[in-house]
Amino acid sequence: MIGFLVQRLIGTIPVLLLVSLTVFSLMHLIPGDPVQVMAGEVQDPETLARLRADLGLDRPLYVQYAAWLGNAVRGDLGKSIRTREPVTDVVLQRLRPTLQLSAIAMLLAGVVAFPAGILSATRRNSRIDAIATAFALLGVSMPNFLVGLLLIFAFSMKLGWLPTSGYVDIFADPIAGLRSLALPAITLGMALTAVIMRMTRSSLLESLSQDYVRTARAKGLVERRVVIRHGLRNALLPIVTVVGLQVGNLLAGAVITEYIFAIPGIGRLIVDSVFARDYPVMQGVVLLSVIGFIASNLVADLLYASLDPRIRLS
Amino acid sequence: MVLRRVVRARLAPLGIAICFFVVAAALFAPVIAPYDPAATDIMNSLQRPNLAHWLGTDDLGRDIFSRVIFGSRISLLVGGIAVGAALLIGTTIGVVAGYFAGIIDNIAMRIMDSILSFPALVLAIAVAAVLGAGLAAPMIAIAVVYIPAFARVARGQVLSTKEQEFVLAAQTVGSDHRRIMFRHVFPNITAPLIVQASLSVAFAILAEASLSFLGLGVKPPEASWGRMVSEGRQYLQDAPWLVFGPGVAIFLTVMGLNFVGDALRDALDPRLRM
Repeated sequence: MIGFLVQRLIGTIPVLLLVSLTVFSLMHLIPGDPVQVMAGEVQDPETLARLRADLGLDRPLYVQYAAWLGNAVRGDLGKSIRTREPVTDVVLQRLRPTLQLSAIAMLLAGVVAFPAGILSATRRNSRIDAIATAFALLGVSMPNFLVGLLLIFAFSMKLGWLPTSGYVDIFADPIAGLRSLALPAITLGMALTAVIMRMTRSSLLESLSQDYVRTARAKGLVERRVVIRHGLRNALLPIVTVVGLQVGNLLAGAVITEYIFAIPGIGRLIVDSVFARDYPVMQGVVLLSVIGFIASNLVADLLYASLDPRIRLS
Repeated sequence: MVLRRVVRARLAPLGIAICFFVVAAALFAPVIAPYDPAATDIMNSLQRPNLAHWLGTDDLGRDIFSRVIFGSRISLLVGGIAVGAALLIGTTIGVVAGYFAGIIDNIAMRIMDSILSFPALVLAIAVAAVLGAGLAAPMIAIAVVYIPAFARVARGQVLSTKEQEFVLAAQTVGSDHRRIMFRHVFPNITAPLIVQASLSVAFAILAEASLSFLGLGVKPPEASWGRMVSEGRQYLQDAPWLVFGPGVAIFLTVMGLNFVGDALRDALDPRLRM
């Protein structure tokens, strides 16, 4: 297990290097001069040149890349061009709302998707199955900005139950926090719920049609036990893969969700920094989101092995 | 089981019908649209849906139905070209990598891995931001995101196909690599690629809508569904049709494409059936 982990971690190094190079070059290809943006009204060429030198933007690109990478591995992602704060601090601040939002979204998805998926597989073609299938269809076909706006329209504007936007930290004020994150979490969790539900259903259906399930039934096991111990356990593998991929993608969903609900998280930071041409922040956030994505896939791989002893990690 | 088959049998034609309507709307937009999509009419702004304006009018008095009709052009154009480009480039990379194996395969696939390790929308935002305004930005951004998917599918297929006897036969009679790759191997791997492409178009249209919702890509006054939703957002309370018209258009188009994609997958690649 440890050997596998080490091997996988080493394997991610070339990928991370390529990613960092891609991120770095992308950001420097963005049209528009950050120094101009910063300086605003000031057009004095000498001031601009000094500013550029201060930020190290006058050095050749490969020197800038080497310097950036060298600092990045030591946890220093530079300073925001806009606010002059260290990027690491900015990102860490913004991480909190996003983590809270994603955690609630995942919880919601899990609580809804697994039982619904199991029910629709065990009671195939029932009404529950039809409703779940229709919901899954909705979940994968609706853009999440539309889901968010529909929820705001119904629950905030028409019913007046929940705030339209804004963010309250859950740990500071649990009730207000939950109220502020309820709609964003449903928005973010919708697609995840749909995908997990579909996967649970099809994977469970497949494993329930296996011979060992018939054997289990034949020896007189209670249906509940057959489904959970024999069916579900064997159905979990593909579900874990899909969940791993989807969790990594939550951040992408958070971009839109946080944008709509004005939540000061990582997703919002990506959009804001793109429009402000804040290179260092953009590079930092994108790089960290990639690391998070790779990590979630790695966790899925490890879970895989613990679920299925047949899989040798090598 | 029977019910399910009926549902499936109904969903595919429904999907095809939806796609047909969307394509027709895009092709014949000037004929179908009752108004000029960019013509403003301040006297008639924010009208609810009525007989003159089926989906109402927006804050500048533009006819939303006409704008939705014209918007289908952008969605299909961006979705189609992006996926087409990704299919072409990704497949070529995948076929070459799978066929030659070894170091070429290794390098190509590591590059694909590094693209895949970006959350898709984050990469698309970054690429679209680099490219600036215009129709090409979302196209290229989305194409880049989908190249690895096609490369992986193609490579996987090539790895098993190239071991087959007809490839050996072709080698024996002295065909060169290019001929073997594209004449003998490629025709045998098209089914999964078609499935991948049809499902990708749905996601590409969603991605385009998301990008234009965030303000990346097509610039006003051009009617793009995502941008229409984003511009209509501030009137959600009093004039929700500004959001719902284009929103439903995105939803229906993506759903229709998903139906077609699922049906194609079931027909062409039964192993992947869900």
